[in-house]
Amino acid sequence: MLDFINSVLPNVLDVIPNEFFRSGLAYIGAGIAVLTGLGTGIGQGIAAGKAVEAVGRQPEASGKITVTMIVGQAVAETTGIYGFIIAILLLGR
Amino acid sequence: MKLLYENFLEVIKNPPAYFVTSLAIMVFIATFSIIVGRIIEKMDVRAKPNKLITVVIEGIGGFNKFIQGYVGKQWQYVTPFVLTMTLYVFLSNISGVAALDAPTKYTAITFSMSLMSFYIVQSTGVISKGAKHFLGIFQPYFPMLPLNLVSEFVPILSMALRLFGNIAGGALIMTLLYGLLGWGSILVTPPFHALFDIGFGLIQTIVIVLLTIIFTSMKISEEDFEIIKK
Repeated sequence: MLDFINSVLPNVLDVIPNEFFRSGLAYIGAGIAVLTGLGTGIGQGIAAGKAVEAVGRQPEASGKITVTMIVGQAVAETTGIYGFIIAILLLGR
Repeated sequence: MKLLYENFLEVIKNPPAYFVTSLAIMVFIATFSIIVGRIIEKMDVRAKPNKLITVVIEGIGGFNKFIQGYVGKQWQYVTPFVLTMTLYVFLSNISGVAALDAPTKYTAITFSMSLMSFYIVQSTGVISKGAKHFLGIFQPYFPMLPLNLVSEFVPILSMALRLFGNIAGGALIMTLLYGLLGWGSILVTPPFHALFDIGFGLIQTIVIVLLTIIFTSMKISEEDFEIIKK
């Protein structure tokens, strides 16, 4: 599979597929992988907004609301961490 | 087979730093528990304990009640596993502040923790329901088998990578900060240590324990919940 791509590529683009080319593409891939933070940031921001609204409605329950929000955000952050791990793995190449 | 033996000897002769830290944390937790347990066992019923013993007794009582509220009758089986996991993960996450090599920065340790959680969930299901626990993946009807299998096994991966990603990412940022500032990092880095090591360490400990207990509470039979309703 890699031999096939290496033979087709100089006819399609004007590049030589050596290890610099592969390393450069790995860096670009690492940059694209961190874009998963977009959805994570939006989702966690909406959750935090709802928590602030709930505290404003009933200030006595603010301790419980804070703990529940922190736990919920730590679980929702997992997909953003997946992108971060892939980016670190690709930076080593 | 010979290669396995040689690798094993190599690890015993020059152990990596996180292995030594992990063993030291385990030895510390074990000796602390044994010593405090002996003191409490030999105490008179009417004697007044000092502050440390009071904190330990109240803490373990509160933890028992917390787990009993979720799991019901099996709390005596589940609590030792979960309390040990809590203490180990919390102390491992915090050890970055003491300039040690935190064990939970490495995927070997975090996968062991999530395999432990998988064992707790499945074994509590078997104890509570008997052999009918294995019929649970066919609920509510037979074609749900692939989806149920995936949702049993994927939490192993997701719990391990969540813990690893949080702690290793924090350690990476701290390494970059120390490398950038050199000697000036004495003034700047304490708030970062408080946020990344202690803050995220505590939050991830709570998350991993709460997820284990919630998965366990989904697997036990209805009659074991009687103890809460009283």
